[in-house]
Amino acid sequence: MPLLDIRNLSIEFDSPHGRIRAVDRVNLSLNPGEILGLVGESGSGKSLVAKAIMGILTDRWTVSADRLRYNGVDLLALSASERRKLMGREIAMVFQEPSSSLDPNDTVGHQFNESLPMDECDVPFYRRKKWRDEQIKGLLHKVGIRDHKRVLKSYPHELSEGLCQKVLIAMTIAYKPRLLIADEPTTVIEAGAQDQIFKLFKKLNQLNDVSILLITHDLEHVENWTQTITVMYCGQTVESGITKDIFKQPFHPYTMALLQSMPHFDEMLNHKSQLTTLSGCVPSLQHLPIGCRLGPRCPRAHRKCVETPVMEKSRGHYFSCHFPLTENIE
Amino acid sequence: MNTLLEVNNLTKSFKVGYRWLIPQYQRALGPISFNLEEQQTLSIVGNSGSGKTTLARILVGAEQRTSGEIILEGEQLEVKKHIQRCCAIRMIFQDANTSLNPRMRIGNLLEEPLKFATDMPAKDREQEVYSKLRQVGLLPEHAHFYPHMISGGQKQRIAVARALMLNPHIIVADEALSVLDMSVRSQIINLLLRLQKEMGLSYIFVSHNINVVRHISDKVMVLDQGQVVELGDAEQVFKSPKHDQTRKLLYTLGH
Repeated sequence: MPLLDIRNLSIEFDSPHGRIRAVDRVNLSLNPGEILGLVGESGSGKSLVAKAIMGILTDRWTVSADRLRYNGVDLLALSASERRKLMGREIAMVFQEPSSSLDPNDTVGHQFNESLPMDECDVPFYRRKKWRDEQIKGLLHKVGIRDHKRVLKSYPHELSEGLCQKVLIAMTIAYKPRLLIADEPTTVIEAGAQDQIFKLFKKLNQLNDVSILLITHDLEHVENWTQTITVMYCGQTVESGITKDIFKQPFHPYTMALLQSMPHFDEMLNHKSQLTTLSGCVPSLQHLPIGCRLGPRCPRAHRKCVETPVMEKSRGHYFSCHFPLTENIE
Repeated sequence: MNTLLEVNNLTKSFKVGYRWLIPQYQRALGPISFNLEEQQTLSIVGNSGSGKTTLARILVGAEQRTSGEIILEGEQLEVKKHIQRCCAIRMIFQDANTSLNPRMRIGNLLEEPLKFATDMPAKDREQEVYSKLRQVGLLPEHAHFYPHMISGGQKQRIAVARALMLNPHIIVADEALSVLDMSVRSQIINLLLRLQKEMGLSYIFVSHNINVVRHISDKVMVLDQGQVVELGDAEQVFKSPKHDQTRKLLYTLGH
């Protein structure tokens, strides 16, 4: 049974121009012990999906889904307080800009103290201080911070983004969550540290059996670190399947365009030649095209594309396109 | 090919504090020497803290060098000669979203460098803005828009247009591509390559995306702790890296 099972998740909000559907019938399923990559350009609604799973969207947004299940429990049917109990304990989230999600007024050590699971503490009150220090030390070592004393004493602005991100990850795994949602964990981090963060996720996944939903805008990142990928465009799922299969043979023109847009080492590409790219840009939410939202930019678009394509399946590989790349069209 | 830019023994030191009332300096960069030829692209790669941003900032004049000389087209580039420098070397900033003034129209934004560095009449300035907008693939109508009315990719195009405004010879791009989305990034790469061919521009790229660097650059300079550890043709550096640091970089960046 998948740990996280989402069918036809739609997220809408009311604007002066009428109701806008920012996320349109997205499907996701994450098996226990798996790393799933959710890929899409900015504005494709990947963060919204993450927030909907966590239940931290504001009242402005309406979330509806045929199925939004975590471990067999329907998340939408839960009351706010029941959901609050899942938040942070079962499902944890690492946010986009690490240094801005820490309190700038407070030392890292003090903030870490607040996030410890005190209900798991079974020592008498006079030994709690020591227990806390031990816990924090252990967690920081686990994420690869060696000089924990300096880190705990410093304020967030004194640490590099990579270190802040590691501290945040250490905080989130304090409760030993089963599902970790990482929302663009490496966009603001320097290149060398990005690799460390991904390695850390991999380690957590293998040693602690944490399932990870890795949200990123760069397809290059997910290639080596994930088992399955879901690609989103403008709030629609475009393609999902096993990472290797998608990289070998994408079915959807958008995935193909993404793969082609990054120049590859081993590919025979002339030096300084023009790259193949989709024309135009991502449409704004007020002016979404009907049917397949890639339509106006798609090189294979036909008249039929004004109808929203249905998700099709071919050997564990889902895609939503009327004219997949494997079929020839005249 | 003509040598466009020549940098000799460039260094930069920062004051780190005092010891017995004597100011203490720390060498952040250099000594660095390199040449840049016309229509060439030089990429600077390195870990964070290796001084690549400092070097880019010194070249555009946002930071003052401690010693060394920069020779542009056979002429010494003085520290204080701002007009000469800003006409020849321009910069594309990292984040187009925050580097455009939200209270100015795009036309006025693009007009500003012309106002400050030339004495062109208003009519010609307007024409110049329109032609530059066309060059980067936008329409003259975009001059009347405010930055929030256009998309992220278009904003980056505006940033490129602003760098092109004074017909520079060299454009310095400090991580200008890394924050962009994938499809927009390849559009901007295409645009930069096209402009290089049409206008004979030279680029200095600061980047950590090895795939992009390999595609667009002729020369690569690898920096480590302010020192050049490897400098040479891009293909050669990537195919047979000589220095350990280069190998490490290639490895950590996925290859």
